[in-house]
Amino acid sequence: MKRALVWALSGLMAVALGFWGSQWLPSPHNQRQLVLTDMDGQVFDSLERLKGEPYVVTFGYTYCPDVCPTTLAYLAQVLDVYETQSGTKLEALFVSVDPERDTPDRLAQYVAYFDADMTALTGSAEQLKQAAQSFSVYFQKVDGTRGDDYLVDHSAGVLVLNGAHQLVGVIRDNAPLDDALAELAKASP
Amino acid sequence: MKQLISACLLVCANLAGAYASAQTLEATDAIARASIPGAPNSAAFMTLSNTSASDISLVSVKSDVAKRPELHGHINDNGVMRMRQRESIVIPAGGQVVLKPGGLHVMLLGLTDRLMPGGQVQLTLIDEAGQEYPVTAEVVDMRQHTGVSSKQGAMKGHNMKGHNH
Repeated sequence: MKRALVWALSGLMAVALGFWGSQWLPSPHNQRQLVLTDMDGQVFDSLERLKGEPYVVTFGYTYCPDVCPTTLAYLAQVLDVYETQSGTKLEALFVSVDPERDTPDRLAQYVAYFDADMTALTGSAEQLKQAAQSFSVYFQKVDGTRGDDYLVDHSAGVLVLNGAHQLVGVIRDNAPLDDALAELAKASP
Repeated sequence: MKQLISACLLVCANLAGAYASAQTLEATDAIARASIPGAPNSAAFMTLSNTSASDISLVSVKSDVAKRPELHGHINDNGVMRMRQRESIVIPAGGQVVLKPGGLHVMLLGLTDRLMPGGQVQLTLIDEAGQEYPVTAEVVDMRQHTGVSSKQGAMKGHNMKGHNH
């Protein structure tokens, strides 16, 4: 009898722990949210602005010498091909994790070079931290010994979200076009 | 007369130096990314072929186009790209090393002027013995160098090939 009780209790604890854990671990079923500032200096809440719409988002910064331009140039072309093939135009967001140097003005110029319809966002350190947590991405300033001259490590690749703003796909850097298109297709099943 | 001879010697020495470097390390498909509005940094990429019988270890780079030209590499740490300065890039004897987007590259930190497509950038690679290897990189618009070349599918292989210079 006693033993059965112990088992029952352990079972309960396991369920409780599982539930508690699921609140913290990134789950593909979680709705992702960005609350940041757009290029016009307005609050951008992804759940409101892109309500019901699928979209893609990538994190970076304009001082990024290699990876970000490569990713954005690639993404712009992939989105173009996707639009031609599927007739669906996906919203694209670029989130700068370097708000100290990336002013809305600088960001506007930067993303327009790659894609006239791309939206650039940034925010306070706290807002960016929350956005990174919501999307399970990482960023960290490095090489900060030379004042304004530093680099930022960040998660690379493009995240694909469906209309419910669940994370449904990831496009890795330099992924073949067909793989990228397959990931984008997950956004609007 | 004496001056003329010494001038000639200097020129000859330079020519010999240039010849020696041209012989041992060849840079092909050298490109630099055109400036993006709002972005003060750029990068250059190329294929380096070592035609000599000994390894060449590049330790630094010089260029007038950037305040801090550096040799860089990326470490892909579980999807996080950590870009770091490299102490050296070794091109093995008779071997090749490709500097390409997302990999090894010449970082041009703090451009002194905007790099315009169609222009050229002069770089000087320097090995551990102090030997200099001049490289001319064509400035290209990277939007046309994404590897997504057509509506049919992704380009095979890496995206340094098939450029028109």
